[in-house]
Amino acid sequence: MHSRLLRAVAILVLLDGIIVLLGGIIATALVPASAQSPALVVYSGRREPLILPVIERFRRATGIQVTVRSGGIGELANLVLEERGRPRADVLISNEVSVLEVLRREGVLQPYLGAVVRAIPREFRAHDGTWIGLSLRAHVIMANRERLSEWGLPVPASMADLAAPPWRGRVVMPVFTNEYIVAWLSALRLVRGDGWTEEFFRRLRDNRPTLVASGTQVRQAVARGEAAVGIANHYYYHLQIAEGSRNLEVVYPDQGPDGMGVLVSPSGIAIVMGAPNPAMARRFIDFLAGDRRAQEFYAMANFEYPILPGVPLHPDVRPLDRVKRMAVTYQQLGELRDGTLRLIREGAFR
Amino acid sequence: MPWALLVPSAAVAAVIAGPMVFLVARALLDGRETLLTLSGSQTMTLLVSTLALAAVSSVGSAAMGAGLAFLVERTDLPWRAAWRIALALPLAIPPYIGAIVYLHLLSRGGILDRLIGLALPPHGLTGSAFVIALYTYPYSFLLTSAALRRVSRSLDEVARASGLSSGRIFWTVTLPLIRPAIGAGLFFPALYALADFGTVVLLRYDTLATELYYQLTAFYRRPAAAALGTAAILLVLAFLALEARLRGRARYHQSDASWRPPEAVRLGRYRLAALATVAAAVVLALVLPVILLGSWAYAGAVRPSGAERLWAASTPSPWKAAGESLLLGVLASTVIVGLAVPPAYLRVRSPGWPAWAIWALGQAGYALPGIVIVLGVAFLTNTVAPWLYGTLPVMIGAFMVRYMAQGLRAVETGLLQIPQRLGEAARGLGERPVRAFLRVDLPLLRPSVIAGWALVFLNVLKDLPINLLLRPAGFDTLPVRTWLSATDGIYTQAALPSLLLIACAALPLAMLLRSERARGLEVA
Repeated sequence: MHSRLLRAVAILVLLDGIIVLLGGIIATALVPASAQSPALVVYSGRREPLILPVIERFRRATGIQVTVRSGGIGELANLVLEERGRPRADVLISNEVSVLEVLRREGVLQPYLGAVVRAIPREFRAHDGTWIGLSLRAHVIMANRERLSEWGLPVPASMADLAAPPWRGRVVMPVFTNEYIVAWLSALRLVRGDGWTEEFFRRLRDNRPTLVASGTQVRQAVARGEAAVGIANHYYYHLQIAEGSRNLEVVYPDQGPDGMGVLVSPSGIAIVMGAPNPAMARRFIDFLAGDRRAQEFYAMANFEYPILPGVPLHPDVRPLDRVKRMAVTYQQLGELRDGTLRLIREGAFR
Repeated sequence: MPWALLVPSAAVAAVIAGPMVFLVARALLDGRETLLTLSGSQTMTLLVSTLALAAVSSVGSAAMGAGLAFLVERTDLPWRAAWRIALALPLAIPPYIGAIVYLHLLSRGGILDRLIGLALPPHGLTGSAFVIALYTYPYSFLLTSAALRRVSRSLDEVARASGLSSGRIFWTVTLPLIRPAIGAGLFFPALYALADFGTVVLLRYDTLATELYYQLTAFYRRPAAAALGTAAILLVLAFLALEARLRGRARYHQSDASWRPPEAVRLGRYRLAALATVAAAVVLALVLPVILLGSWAYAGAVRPSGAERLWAASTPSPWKAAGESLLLGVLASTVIVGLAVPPAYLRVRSPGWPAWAIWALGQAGYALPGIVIVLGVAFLTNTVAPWLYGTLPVMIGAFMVRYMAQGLRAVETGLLQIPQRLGEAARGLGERPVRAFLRVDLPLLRPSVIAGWALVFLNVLKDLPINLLLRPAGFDTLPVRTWLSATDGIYTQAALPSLLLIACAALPLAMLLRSERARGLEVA
């Protein structure tokens, strides 16, 4: 009985192995000899479903092979710095341009001011063309209506509310060292001053928000009702609605006459200094920033604000001209970044 | 002869020691920052939460494994041969995949919530310890099973003849004999809990490893990372010392010559309960996850949402990832087992402090969290050879640090069974040493080398930190595909790579279980 059983298991495993091996071989063979022909190497700090379809479209349109390494933007920015003596990546895509601004000041990015780039409004690209915005996002609050009423909480009107006692343990947000949060805290320092921001940060931290790794986890936690509200970019709300959630609400806080507005910031792209394939990298940027269909994809599939003038916004998204924005520049956010990180590290590990 | 062994052995030792030395050196260079970090209250909190997770998961895991081993080895439970295999199979599933499954199953709005309104979010200490215990208990199960099988019936008979009751026999005869196995079964989950960041990041429990993960993936100067990595190294060394002390004290010997299978305990009316317990373990750890992953993969393939279709059309195929995982596994385990040969010879044929030092280094490397190794390797390559960073050799070097101990032990176990005189005779008859090794020793070594190879292969496949953080661009193995989809919350897309990973891991696991059955070799 025993040895027969073992034999059966062995045969199953063998079959399993053959299937996996064959599958692997076929898949490797089907992928057109990408290993031999020179490929554009892209480090992408954006979530894969947001960027891979556009890259795929680029691949089909130009026939250029693209090798993508996806990961956290921090991890990839570190890589670019570490590889500065011998760059491996051609292009870096970031979910937050203040990281690119820091890299610009480190001198590891290469300027590019082609016609497509110049078509993008000045405020959404580096003055020297080292980084270029791809799409815009608003940093907002999403709320779970059932939880709000269950816990007797009002719809928050300001981000500052969330540091007040009633919200203790009711908020979910990315870890403090997440680039969105770092940029947001830097913006608060610019608009409200260092003293105010430090105090706010300390109270927010002591309010024990649930800290998660990403915006996706924020939206899922709010939809599940683990928290009453979440701090995240606006499109996470729309993505959650698109997945079928019904009990959610998006809040653009601080919109009153005295309100400071919300932080609107671009995702961005840059060519790495010393990129092995600079010509391909430029074509890639022209495509991602200048191709109407690529821009429409950010707007329609991911509910972002397209950066190219004239590309329509998704009808469910609140138009940017009805959003009061924080008065900051991305150069400033990049300059303040180190200080903000120091502030965070003094108060919390992440 | 010893020189021919010493030089390659020293090279192996250098590869293992390098990253750790660099990490500690970096922490010492930033002395002030290190002191500040280590003395901070946050580090204390992290240390306490890490130790709490290690304690709870190891007790849970060892109790589960030992209990199941007792049921399978020492009772008249039906279908014992089948349970023996089924209970070991969860080793093919990395705990972070278990975490994905249980998150989706138990969260608010998860499967059980929608079906019966039950939400038990597996977050925090309880959830993390549950998942870790569920996927590390096979260590304790296999170790305790092997120990139980070695206990001879004659011991029971002598004890019974001396008038001891069955209960007393268990406590005074059986338990002491299997105690080392239970101890080892406690040790592995504790090490795992210390090392793992995949499970705990997903389940939102903060440990030293998660903190290192955030430090390593955040974009800022990371002096705290070196300090925390050093703290992890110290913690691991303390663990190893403790384990060596505990193991060193008492010894029990039994003669194999008079071994007879022990008498099975009659379960009687508890038979059904015992059967249910064993079945529950297999369902929770193996059947349920595989079925759920299968159904998600199916749903993702047959009724994809718009986003899923886009995703599936543009992401690298999981099959390609499977090919890359297998390639990596074969390369890494071949290199590791191959390079384990010189130091293993050194230790068996000419023991002395160099041999001992390499062995100890290997043990330390094996106990280190993968994320600490990644950190050390990053410091090392970026200082010494930045152009090497993000290449396959660096990945394999990192795996060497982690798994050389397993390669060493496998080759050593084999060598101890070969009489030294055989090789000497061959050389006496005029064979050169290398040829003597290839023609005499190697064929005899084969079974244990294969077992060691399979073990390293299994671990390389399941590893997350090295696969994820040291990979070259475009080299996305199965753990990477799984992790990227899971952290994006797209479970249907994590399902297929997870299933393929489990399928790939089943290969070396089956090789191991066969050799384990045949010669009592330990999987751990």
